[in-house]
Formats: sequence, C-alpha cells, structure tokens
Amino acid sequence: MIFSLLALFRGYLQVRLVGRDVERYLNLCGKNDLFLWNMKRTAEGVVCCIAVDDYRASRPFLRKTGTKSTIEKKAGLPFWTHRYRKRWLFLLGCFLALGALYLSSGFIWRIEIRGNSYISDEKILQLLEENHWFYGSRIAVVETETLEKTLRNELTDIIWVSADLTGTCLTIDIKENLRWEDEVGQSSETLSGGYDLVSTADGVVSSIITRSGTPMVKAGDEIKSGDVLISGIVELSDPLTGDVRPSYCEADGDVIVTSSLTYEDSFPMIYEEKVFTGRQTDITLLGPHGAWLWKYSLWEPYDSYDTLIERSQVVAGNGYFLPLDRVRIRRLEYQIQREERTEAEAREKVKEDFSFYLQNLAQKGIQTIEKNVIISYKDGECLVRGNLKTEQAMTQKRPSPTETKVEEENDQHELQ
Amino acid sequence: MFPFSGSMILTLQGSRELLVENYQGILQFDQHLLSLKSKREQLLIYGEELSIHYYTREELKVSGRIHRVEVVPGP
Repeated sequence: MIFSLLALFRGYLQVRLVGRDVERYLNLCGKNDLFLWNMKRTAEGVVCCIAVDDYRASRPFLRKTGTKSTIEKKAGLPFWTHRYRKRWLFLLGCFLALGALYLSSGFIWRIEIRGNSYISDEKILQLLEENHWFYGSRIAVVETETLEKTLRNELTDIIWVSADLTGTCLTIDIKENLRWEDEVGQSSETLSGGYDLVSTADGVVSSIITRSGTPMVKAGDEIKSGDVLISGIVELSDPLTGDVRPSYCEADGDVIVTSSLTYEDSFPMIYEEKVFTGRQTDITLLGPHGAWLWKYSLWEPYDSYDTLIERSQVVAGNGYFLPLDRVRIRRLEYQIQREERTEAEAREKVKEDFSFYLQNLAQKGIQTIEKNVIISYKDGECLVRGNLKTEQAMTQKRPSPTETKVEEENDQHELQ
Repeated sequence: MFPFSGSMILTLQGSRELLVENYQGILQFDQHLLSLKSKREQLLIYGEELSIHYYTREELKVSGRIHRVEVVPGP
C-alpha cells in the first residue's frame, strides 16, 4: 500500500527487460537499493515496475549487463500533471481539493455520544465545549485521557467513560449509574417518614384492601381527587396509661375506584385529502454541515408538494468526516381533493378513534367496564358522545402530616 | 560464530506467497523456477506463474502457485 502510494507520487514506469543477463541487472539494482516490484517473466522478457528516479539511476547497469529496456507504461503524478498541463485550472482545483482535505483532517468534524439515556447529548456537548472540545476544534488539542477524566469528574452519574478519536470523529462511550428508583421501581421519597395513599380521581370506592396504614374510606364511599384513602398515621394506644400516640408508616393497599367519564368527539363529514400524483423531482446538494440553507430554496417545481429531506455527513474514508452535508431533497406533488364521508365510513372512523382513546386509558391503568357511545349527524358534522364507567387502582402517595404539623394545627384550632 | 549465520530465513504463507530473508542474489528467474543464492546454500522455488512481488537488498517476496521449495548446497 505504502509502496503503491509512494510510487504514485514519485511516478513510475512499467518496463520490459530483454537480454541474456537480466538476473545480473536485477541483482545490481537490489545491491544499489533501486526498488523494483511486480516482476513477471513472459515470453518476451521480464516485465517489472520501477520508479522514474531509480530507472535513471539503473541505466549504467543496463549498459553493463547488455540488457535492453522498453518502457511500456508511464504512471503516477508527474506524468499525470504533464498530460493535463493545458488544463491547469482543473489541476489547480484538484490540488486545492486535496489541500482542503488535508487541512480539514486536522479538526473534529463529528462527535458521537453513545450509551447515555439520562444524561442528554446537549449536556455532554456543552461540557465538552466548556473545555474547548467542540465541533471544529483542532484534533491536536484533544487528549482523550484528559477528556475522559474531565467527564468522570463533572458528571457524577457516569461510572465509566471512554473517548476514542478515529480520523476526524470523536466517539464518547458512556456507562451510566442505574438510578435507585429504576432498580426498585418506586420513588426514593418512600424511604422515610409516613406516607398516605391518596385518590387521583373522583368516583366511588368499589373495593379496599389495606396492608399497612389506617383505612379512611370504605367500599361504596364517594371520594374526590386528593382525598386520603389510606392514612400513613397509625394511632397506637398504651394499654397501661391509655395514652394515644401516632406512629408513622408508608400506607399500602389496593384501592379500586369506579369513576364515570364523558367521551366527546366531532369531525366534519366533508374533508380534504392529499392525493399524490406520482410525480416527483430529486435534487442533491452539497452544503456546510448543520446548515439549513436549502430550507430557503427557491426551487418550486409544483404548486402543492411534500418535501422529503435526507441528510448525511460526507465521509472521505474510515472515520474521516468532512464539514459537509450531502442533502437529497425529494419533492412529491399532490393535489387536494374534497371528499365526503358516508355514514358507514364515519362510523368506522368513530370506531378507530374511540379504540385509540380506550388504548390510551389502558396505558394509564384505567380499565373500562362499561361504555355507551351515541353517534349523531348535524350540520355536516359527525358528533360523538359517550359515557364510560371505569375502574382504576389508586397508587399515588404523599407525605403524611407530621406530628408537629398536627400539633400546630390543633393549637391553631384551640386559639380560634 | 553462530552456526546458522548467513542462512536464509523462509516464511511460507500457504502455497501462494514466500518471503525470503537474508538472500544474496537472484540466479535464475522464470515462470516455473526462481533460484536464489545465499552465503551457504542455493534455494530453488518451483511453481507456476511465479512472480517477484518486490525485492530489496535484504528480502524478496515471491507470489504464485508454489509447488516445491528445495535447498541445495551452494554453488
């Protein structure tokens, strides 16, 4: 690989060597550090490649050994520039492009962050920027060990970090510390003090099972959102003295509440729909990375169209990203058509929308036990109204009023 | 003196490539035979479509279908 590149830059010849003593010529070249490669014996002699300078230096050996040489091919940069000497602007452009490529390889043009879920990319990028490691900064100033150390010191939630610089791409791999609540599946607030189980919806208690705490409601009671269902305060009485003192615990139990919900929806029977005509035009642009210049493009091929944009950063080789984006803009023509739904189609849409609504409720832990939906049509609109009976388990907790707070409240009552 | 000083070192990669180190010169080269000499012995490489990938003062790399490698006492 290196031989080939050097040969390309220096220029090389493919020569055919004919004579009785070709091996002696080859040995003389080897002893004098003249480099020959890709050597093959053919019926017409030995064919090999040799650098231009080395070929000139080997002329005395050709004479000495009586070997005749014929140049079959000239290749490499010197011959190429000579061949295209009249197209000097083209050559200049090529050299400038090569120069730009070489210069740009000394800067960071891409930062990839992997393995983070809690710590945002923006936070890490901001931290890097504060330490002068950012998109466009010189590679020479990036010391991966210092970078790793800084990230470890600044971000306490990470337990392992690795920074790797390949080409112009800085890759940061992170392993985050799992948070306590994610491991046990509950809030860290429940660790200390007393906690009440409270209602999150209005309704009627259909069942209550208390595991710890004092039940404040019973099945059949009507409750409002925010009411305490199971209190975290348990009153303990001393059998000897008869004194009652509160004890605090984390209220726990299963409280199922039945609620009523109203579902309302409406949509017009006449609607506008996009119909794609199948005509499309593509344009590919090369622009600065991250810029949105093409947003202001004056290119308007159709009256109505959708635009699809595909962006990808230009990469010159393994990890050698350039500060350029290749952007493909596709414009798809469409026409607006006015359509009118039939009642059957409207019913189908209601069914879909209502099913989606029920799915959302189920995701929130609300089970539907009864539903009653009425569809009516009025003034070109489809009106949907329904009543739902739902059941949901109450799981929200909040700190119980502490002993001192209770006393303060009692004092205030006494003063009044 | 080290008993093997001046001997060739051969590194064969399958039957397609052979790296010869510590050789002194090329005696004969054609498609079926490459003959090299060292201080003490002569190396004969038999095969088909033999070509010299590259060679320098110290080493030479042969490629092609190598059938047999023979070491005979030097000339």
